[in-house]
Amino acid sequence: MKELKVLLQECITLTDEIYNAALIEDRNQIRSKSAQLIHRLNDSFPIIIEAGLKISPVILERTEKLLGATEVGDSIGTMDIVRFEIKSILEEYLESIGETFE
Amino acid sequence: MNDNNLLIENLEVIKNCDKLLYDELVKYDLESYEVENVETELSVDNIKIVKAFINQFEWYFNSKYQAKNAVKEWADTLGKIESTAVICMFGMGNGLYLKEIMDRSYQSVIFIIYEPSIQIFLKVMKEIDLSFLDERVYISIDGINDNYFDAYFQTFTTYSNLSVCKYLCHPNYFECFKEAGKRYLQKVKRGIEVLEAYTNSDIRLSEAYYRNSIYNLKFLPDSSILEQIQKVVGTSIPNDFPAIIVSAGPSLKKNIKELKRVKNKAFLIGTDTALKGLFEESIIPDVIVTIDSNKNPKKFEDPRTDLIPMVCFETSQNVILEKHKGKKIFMNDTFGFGDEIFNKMGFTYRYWSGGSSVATNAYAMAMAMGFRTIILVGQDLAYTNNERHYEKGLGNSFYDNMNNDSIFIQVEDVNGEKITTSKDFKIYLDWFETEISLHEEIDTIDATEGGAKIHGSRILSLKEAIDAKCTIEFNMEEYMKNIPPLLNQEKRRELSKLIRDIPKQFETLSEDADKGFQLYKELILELETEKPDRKKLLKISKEIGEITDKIEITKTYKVAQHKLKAIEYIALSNLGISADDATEDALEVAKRGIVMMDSLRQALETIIPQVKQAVE
Repeated sequence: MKELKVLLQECITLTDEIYNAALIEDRNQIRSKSAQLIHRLNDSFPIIIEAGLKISPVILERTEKLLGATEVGDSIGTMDIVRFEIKSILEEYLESIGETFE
Repeated sequence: MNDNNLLIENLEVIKNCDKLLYDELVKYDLESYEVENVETELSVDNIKIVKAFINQFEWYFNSKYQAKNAVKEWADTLGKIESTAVICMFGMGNGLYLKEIMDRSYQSVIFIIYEPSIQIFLKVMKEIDLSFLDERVYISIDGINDNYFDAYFQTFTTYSNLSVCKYLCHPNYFECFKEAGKRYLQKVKRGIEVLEAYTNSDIRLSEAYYRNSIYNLKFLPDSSILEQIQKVVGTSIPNDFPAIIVSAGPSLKKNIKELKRVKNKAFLIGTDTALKGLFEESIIPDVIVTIDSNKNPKKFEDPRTDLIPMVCFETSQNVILEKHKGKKIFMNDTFGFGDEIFNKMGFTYRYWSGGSSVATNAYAMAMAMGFRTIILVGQDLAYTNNERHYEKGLGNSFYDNMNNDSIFIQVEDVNGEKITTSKDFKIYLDWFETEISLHEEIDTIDATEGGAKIHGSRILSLKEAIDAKCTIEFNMEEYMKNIPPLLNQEKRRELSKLIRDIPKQFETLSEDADKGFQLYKELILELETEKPDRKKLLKISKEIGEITDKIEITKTYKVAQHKLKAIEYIALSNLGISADDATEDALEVAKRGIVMMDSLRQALETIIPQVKQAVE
């Protein structure tokens, strides 16, 4: 559970970093941080299942959306996806394991 | 409110803040214009936002969730916006980003927007309230008035605010409008290059102004001034006698030979660059006009120029004035010492608002003399057949060497078609048009037979103009040569004495600069103490104010200032960047003050011996 908490917190931090990079349209940072986020999310999925939690198909869909937005260079879309579409789900996972983002 | 009501209101807003854009927009049938691939919707925080379908992708230009907050966060990343800043921005979107930075900026900040999408702009005009726009905002829309961007840029960006200007891009615009984005960047880059070229030219000319005004002093005692021949048409010169101003535009080759038959039938004014062409046709003008401080003396190589009366400024190229042996008639451009000396001696020696080209000054001279018919020849004010001058490869300015369309504009030509011109020509064109509209009593005939249309002038061929207007015989050459010097022997001695006193005035200026330097030093010392004495600061500041006022009103300072331009450029280049507290601000100002005073002292060390040599 502790490992999941660390992974989720890392993902949330990455969403903020991507948001800030998108705010100033720093494409290199957006790309590299998004790749890191997707990598961390993939790492967290088996642990989420192990913890008895359900992986919402929405997060998979939104991860794909993020890939699409970063690919075309849509910084506004990237900001919206990470902050309002992915981060909220990650926070819900944290809550469901009885944790909050530190 | 329906779309059209908002459109009408927004148009009214545009009309009040940017009339030029308004004039362009009303050419379109905006009410029935169908905007394609652009839609609006409400964000979660209830802001009307824009989305566009471009390249098979749905692009939003604001956050769909927290549009307002995202804009604020974006604006926080911009840092401090200085009061003298110009903000250039690629894309206006729904205006939310623009409004945010406008709200955060001083009233003196200028916003130049380059909107690449007419579709988005019209959608916004129809659906979003733009009442926040004011006269600080200049919008240039791709395909509508994008050529204005350069003019706006060059109008508001100077070397003193360049370092505090910001070049921004509306989020998602660059990705969405890549080609237009590149054009925008190109325009900004070119704008800065042009600015640097102008600045360098200003610095270069300043040195020439200084040099010429000092070394031309010696010509003043024996010369004439324009006031002596003011309003002579109708008294000494026949009433309907015309003036012909010959410039070196490319169309001159079409009709230059016609000028062979105007001797004694018109006052033939040759501008300096046209001289070579005139001499090649054995046409001798009655007067030469030369104003440029850096004019190439080669234009005056032909010995026939030596004895033709010459109208010039005190800042005109000294080498040319030295070589010229004939009568010199000075026009006051206020840069030289004549402005002060002649007026001190009781003569009227006024500034003539003669525009900034040799031809506009020739026109101002003809007006001052009272000519009621002024015929312009070779006055293309445009790139007829892609040439700037009558002689190929002659006198190319930096415009000719710049392969870009950003500094060229299209204007109407004499046939009602479009013709390419440059910004400098456009300035001269505007000058002519203004003067013509103000002096309806003057029949201005444009006999160039090509080039830009000068609104208000009559367009005739040179043959037609000569046949109609050059009908009276009068010996203008003789008249000009007989204009007496302004001063008699006694006054000449008086003037010579005043000129010999000029070095002393420079020495006084040097003493004052030294005082100013010491005062700034004291001010800095006080400001750098832990607790500056307010009373002492006020006393020093007052004394600095007095010495600065004393320095700045002197003619010697105005002349020396030309030599200081390069230093001024460095001192001013960071102006506008304000420090975070008042003491730091004062310290910054004091440091610049000391640089300027020290530079003045140093410059005077060179100037004083030169002036002494010039007046000996």
